[in-house]
Amino acid sequence: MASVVRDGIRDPYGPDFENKLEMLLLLSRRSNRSPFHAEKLGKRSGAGVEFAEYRDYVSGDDFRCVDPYAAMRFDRLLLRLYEEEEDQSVYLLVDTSRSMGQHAERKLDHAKRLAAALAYIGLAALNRVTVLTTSERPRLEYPTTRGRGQFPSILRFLRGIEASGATRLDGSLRHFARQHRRRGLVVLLSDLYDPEGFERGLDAVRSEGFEVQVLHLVDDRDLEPALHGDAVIVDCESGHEQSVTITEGLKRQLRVARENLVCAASQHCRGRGFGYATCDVANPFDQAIRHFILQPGRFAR
Amino acid sequence: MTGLPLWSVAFLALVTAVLVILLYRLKDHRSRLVVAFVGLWEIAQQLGPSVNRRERRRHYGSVVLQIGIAMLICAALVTLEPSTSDPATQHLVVLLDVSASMAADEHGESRFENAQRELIRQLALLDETVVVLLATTDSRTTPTLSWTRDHRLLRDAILRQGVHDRTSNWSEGLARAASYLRGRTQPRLWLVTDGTTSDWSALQAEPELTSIPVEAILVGSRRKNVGIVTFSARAHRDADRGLELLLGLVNDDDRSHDVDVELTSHGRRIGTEQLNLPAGARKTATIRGLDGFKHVIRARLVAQDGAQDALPLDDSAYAVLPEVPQTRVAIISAGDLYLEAAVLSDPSLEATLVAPGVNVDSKRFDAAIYDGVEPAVPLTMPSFLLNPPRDGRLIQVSTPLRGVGFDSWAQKDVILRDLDLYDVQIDRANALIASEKDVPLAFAGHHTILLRGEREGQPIVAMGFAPHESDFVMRSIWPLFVHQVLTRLLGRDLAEVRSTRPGEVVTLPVDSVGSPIRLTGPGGLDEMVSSAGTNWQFVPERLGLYRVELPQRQAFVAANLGSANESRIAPMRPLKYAGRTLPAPKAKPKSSSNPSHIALAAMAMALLLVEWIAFHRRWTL
Repeated sequence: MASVVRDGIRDPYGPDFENKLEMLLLLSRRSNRSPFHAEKLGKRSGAGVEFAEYRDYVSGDDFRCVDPYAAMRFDRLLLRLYEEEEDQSVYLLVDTSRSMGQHAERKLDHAKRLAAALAYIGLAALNRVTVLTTSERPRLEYPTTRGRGQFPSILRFLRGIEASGATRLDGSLRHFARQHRRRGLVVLLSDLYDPEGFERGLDAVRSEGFEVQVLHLVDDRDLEPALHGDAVIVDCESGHEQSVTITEGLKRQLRVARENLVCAASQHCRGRGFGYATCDVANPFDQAIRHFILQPGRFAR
Repeated sequence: MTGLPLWSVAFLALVTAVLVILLYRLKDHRSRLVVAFVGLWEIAQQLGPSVNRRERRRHYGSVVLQIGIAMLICAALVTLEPSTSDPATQHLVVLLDVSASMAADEHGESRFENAQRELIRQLALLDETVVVLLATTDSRTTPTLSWTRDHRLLRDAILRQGVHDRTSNWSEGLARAASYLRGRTQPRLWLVTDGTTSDWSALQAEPELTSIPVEAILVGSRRKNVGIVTFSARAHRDADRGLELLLGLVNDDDRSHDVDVELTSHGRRIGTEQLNLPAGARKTATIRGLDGFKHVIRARLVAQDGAQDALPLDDSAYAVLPEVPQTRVAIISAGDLYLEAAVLSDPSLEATLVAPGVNVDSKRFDAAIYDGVEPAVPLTMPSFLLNPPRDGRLIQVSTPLRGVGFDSWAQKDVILRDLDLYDVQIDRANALIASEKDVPLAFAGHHTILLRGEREGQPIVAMGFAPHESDFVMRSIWPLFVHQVLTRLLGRDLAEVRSTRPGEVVTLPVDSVGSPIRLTGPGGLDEMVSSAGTNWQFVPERLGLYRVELPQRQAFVAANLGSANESRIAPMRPLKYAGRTLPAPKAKPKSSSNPSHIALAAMAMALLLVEWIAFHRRWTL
């Protein structure tokens, strides 16, 4: 989906964007697998209706919670504990490094569409949604919000994001994990072009109790250089230069290299129990969201 | 091997090397491509074969191709034609006629300008196997540009040439051409000329040219010309007649012309003579009764109908009067009225008739004329021997001749200068046998009929016929002839040249070594020189009057065209030489055995393009 320029402002969403969101929302509500069910059973024990566990009675506990049947069976006073329902937090981390802005910000625009769609579904499902940008560090943040009424604001926020800075996923993710105590679902939308790798950062987030989903954005234009022959390639973020000779063979090897990168990322995420999906920017965003809703954690394009 | 000077080749090689280095440096300059993640490329490069090895192979291959391109460019610029010693090389000598007749006007353009244009055009059709030597020819043949294939140099050399005021000498020119071509591979000869009938009709074949292709580039078609071929003057004893002018004229046109001969002396008009010249005629006119003259007389032809003929160069001539002291001459003769009349009419001669057999006193006479007799005693003075006896001791006489004339004569000799002897008819004569030191002066066929030399310690001139046995004595030039014989015998005026032709050396005696000399002449000539010896020489290059001012005297030298051959400008068509008709040059098809410069340069450019595409590839696809 190409971006449209309206009144001098690039609009990444397209004319049929909201209709597609509604369809995705319906799909999400019908799917049992959707990660966006707002009322999730939290880890804490509270005044819910679902039995959680037994605990010995100690002085000061509410006597009404003592289970008489358990007391007769086990000949001691036991409290019946119930799981407390709580709202889910959804954190959408959008990589806004310069690599995402290559080729007329195709990847960034696609990330915005994905993030907008996820935010809409999350808000519609009464989730707390937070949108953050990440490059060298989390720079911009749309504060945690609830309710569908906040969606236009989120759209405006996403629309104004620009690609800048280098990719430092490791540091950014660690910083995020430290800054945000409320656990929830973290969706990372990135091309994963980090010379220092993203694995440790994601591990750090996971270790803080977040559920991690990775949407790996890929663009075939990264594999189709505009030049042919002797050239000097320059990294758009670091400025690192390297002399190469661009041939058809090298292009094929580029494609293989990216496949290897995707494969390695997928293996790492699956091995850690992260959800992972590749999103080709050439495909419609709703296709990726559909896969995300129906088969979260499965390799999808 | 090379058609270019060494410095040109070196300069072009330097430029080529600079271009190659520049291209290589440009090749090293890589375009920049911003990518999303260099790490991806690094991984990609590690997946394939070693890039460094591939890079090195490419660069070495590129260097080899660049060297090949440079070699092809150098080969294209440095001619790879056969050297001059290669059997495939054709050697072409071009003789360009620059004699006076080439100045003839051909409807607004001279023959020479036509010749230049046509020659340049023909040379441009030659292929690279032909090397050319360019020479100009008139009274002498001079190489102008030696063996070259460079058409630009040839063109410039041709355009630098101009017509001279000199007569042609094709015998010498063809002999020179033969010497230039001697030993050369595939010799050819081109003659660029107007090919006048007078020049070519009696030309003898040059033996070395019989097997060599001779071609002619012919120019000129007009034949209307009236010109002065001889002009001489002498003072006459008879005061009523004063000055006697002898004017030789030729009309080369096919119709008669009426002309006025305007006579001036030092700018002052002294007379006008009206003459009619029949078509094709050669005529000698005697003009008498003029006065008011001084040292130099100028004659100028003006057509009565006002029309300009094709060659104005021969429309005027100068005659210089000599200053000759009195000479005492003894005429030993049985009686010859014509001889007597000729001698007696010369105011500078004191003639005495002496009967044969009487000894001549050398104290009383300066020179002697023996008519049909020889002295019994040794010669005691310079002598003119007319019709020597067969049994004489002084001159050997051989074949008797009947009905002959002056077929050829030494026109430059003091005795015969300014004399036109072409139509003298001799009834009886004897061929003279010249001794080793004698100088034959005139011939009837190949028989000597006039010679000079020395006998018994005295200078002599011998003529093989009696004056009355010919119509020589009837000619107005006869007294002048006798006068000039005596002048020669006596050594007077020997070094005092009165008239000459352009291109001929003039020798003048000077009083002392280092004498300052001022020479003025036509074309604004005015220079001061000094003599290195007791004789001073100069060569008049242009037609006109030259004045030589010496410390004690002054001398005038008239440079006239003075050639019936040059005045007869009617071209011979077709031009025949040595019995063969000379064809026009034919352009030879370009040789396909040698690589063309253009093909080599095209190959170099194609290779450069291949190298650029294969190894450079700067373009965005």
